[in-house]
Amino acid sequence: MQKYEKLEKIGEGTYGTVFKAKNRETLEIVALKRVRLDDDDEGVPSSALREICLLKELKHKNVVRLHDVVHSERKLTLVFEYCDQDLKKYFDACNGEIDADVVRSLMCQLLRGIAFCHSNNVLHRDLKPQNLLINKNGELKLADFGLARAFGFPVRFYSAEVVTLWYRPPDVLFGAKMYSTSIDMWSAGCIFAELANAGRPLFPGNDDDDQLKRIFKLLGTPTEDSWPGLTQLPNYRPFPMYHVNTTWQQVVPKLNSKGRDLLQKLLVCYPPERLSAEDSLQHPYFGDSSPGPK
Amino acid sequence: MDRLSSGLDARRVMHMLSSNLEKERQLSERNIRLSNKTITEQQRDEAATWLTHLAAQFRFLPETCGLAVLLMDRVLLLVKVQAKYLQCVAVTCLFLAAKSLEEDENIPPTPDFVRKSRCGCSFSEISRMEMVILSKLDWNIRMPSAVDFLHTIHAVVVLHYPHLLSSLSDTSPSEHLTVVMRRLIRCLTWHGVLQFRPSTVALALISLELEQITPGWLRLVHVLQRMTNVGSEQLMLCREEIAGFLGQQLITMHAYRSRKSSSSAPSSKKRKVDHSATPAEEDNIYDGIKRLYNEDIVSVAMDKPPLRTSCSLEMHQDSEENAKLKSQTTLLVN
Repeated sequence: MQKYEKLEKIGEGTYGTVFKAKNRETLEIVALKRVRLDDDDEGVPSSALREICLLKELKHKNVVRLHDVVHSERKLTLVFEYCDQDLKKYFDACNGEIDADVVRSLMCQLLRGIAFCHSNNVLHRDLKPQNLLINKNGELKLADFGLARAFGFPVRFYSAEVVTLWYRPPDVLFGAKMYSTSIDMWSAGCIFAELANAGRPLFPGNDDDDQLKRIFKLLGTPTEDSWPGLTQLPNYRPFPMYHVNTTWQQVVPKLNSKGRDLLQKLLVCYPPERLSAEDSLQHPYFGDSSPGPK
Repeated sequence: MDRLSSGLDARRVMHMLSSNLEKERQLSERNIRLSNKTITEQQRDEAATWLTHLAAQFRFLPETCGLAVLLMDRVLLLVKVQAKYLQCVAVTCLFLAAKSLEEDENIPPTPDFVRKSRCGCSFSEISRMEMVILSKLDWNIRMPSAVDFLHTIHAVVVLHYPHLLSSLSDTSPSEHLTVVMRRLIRCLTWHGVLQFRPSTVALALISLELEQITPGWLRLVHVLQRMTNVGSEQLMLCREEIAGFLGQQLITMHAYRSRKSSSSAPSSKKRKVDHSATPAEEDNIYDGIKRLYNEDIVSVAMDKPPLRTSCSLEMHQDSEENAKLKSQTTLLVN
């Protein structure tokens, strides 16, 4: 690792420490994610293996770029492009105010990143502000693919132990294992509302039950009619029939009507009816000329 | 019918097929006959057979099994492997395939994996081998295997020609896929198919199936050839190779059966693998695929606890299967 000069520790990822570093030759600033191989006995951790293999193929403006993988004695170093901050830190620094154009630009970039992953048959499965990086040019990039996986045919039964609670869709909260791209779209909806409210999380639940209650209080409790197959889900349990008395205007006061319409189309309990990333990008909210470069 | 409620639609299937074909094209230099003289074809076949049995034993997905064999062949092509390390290479490829395709909860803890595989190597040896393989392959282990191509090509047939498979009175499309998948996994243990691309192997197998089902098979196969860019000569050669192998295997299988031997492959005498599948497990594999093809009325129901489509089932050889195979190979050999 003589090639890089370590500058400072940035944080802890799902499976390793992240450092800011400088390439001694090119002077380029990079992020190093260090994975220790000694103290666990699974060899290369599956999350690191999947992240590396997936990111080697996912080259897009809105997906963090993996430059290199360096293997040295008992450790593995992933060399990523450097981004100044993540969306969580951006929220902390914004003083409760994000310009409507910036919200639209960040949301558009988030959807482009997701659309790209989905068209490459990859599910991210852990979208949240901490995993979205923003560089100094205001470019947003999907990062931390430690929980991501490729999907294909036939539709398989996947793990229900995915996505951080606040961004986890109701079907997965009920233990659904047969999900697809719609899993990321729910998270995208939650992040959209959080962007519009300058960093206030939409559904900050304490546990699975609280999470579902918060969702149903806003969207109404789903029934077998609105969600065929609901009661057959592995961890289904009945919830009170909440009477919806909050308007979307109250939920996201600063978002315009087109934005509210897009948000409602993403936050749909019944997975097949959730808008896809590709279709979201065609939504009138983004206007005729989508913000930000393609 | 271009979309099923499971979300399977023709556009997505075609997209997946073409992206897999593109990846295959980029890696196409691998499709050379085994050039590694340190490992004989027989040794390679033994290792591949062992891998398919291990994948079944661990209840891995067929795609994991397909990838493991593909990775092993790739390694044998790129690295001069001594025979004494072949088993370590093979088991490491399975471990890598599982870690990249299976969910963590379906991968046995490493000590179990090492012990149950009876691979004869220690975990630290597997760990070292893992790094050797990953650096040789430059971490490019997401390769489309014949199993992936069988899934997509079969889906194309079901979506575009729904009447075709539904006309099979005793077999649903999902059962049909299961039967063909078992056959494909057997073919992967035969070095004869190594000279062909995975997409060609999958298409050749499907074309042999279609020949049995419909008199219009040739026209249909032409359409599928155009979709997959598989040339007629390659297809014919591969069909012959597969038909020959399956026919020959049938004879061996019967010989073994009559000696009351287990169904484990002739060469892997060191290990006895449990291939018995209970009827409940038989349901499981059909279940997952049934939902894909909407045979299940409650197609959106996700009611059962961890359902696994196990490789063991797709490889499990029941007598009914043998009978079908026999009638088919008779036709093919003639």
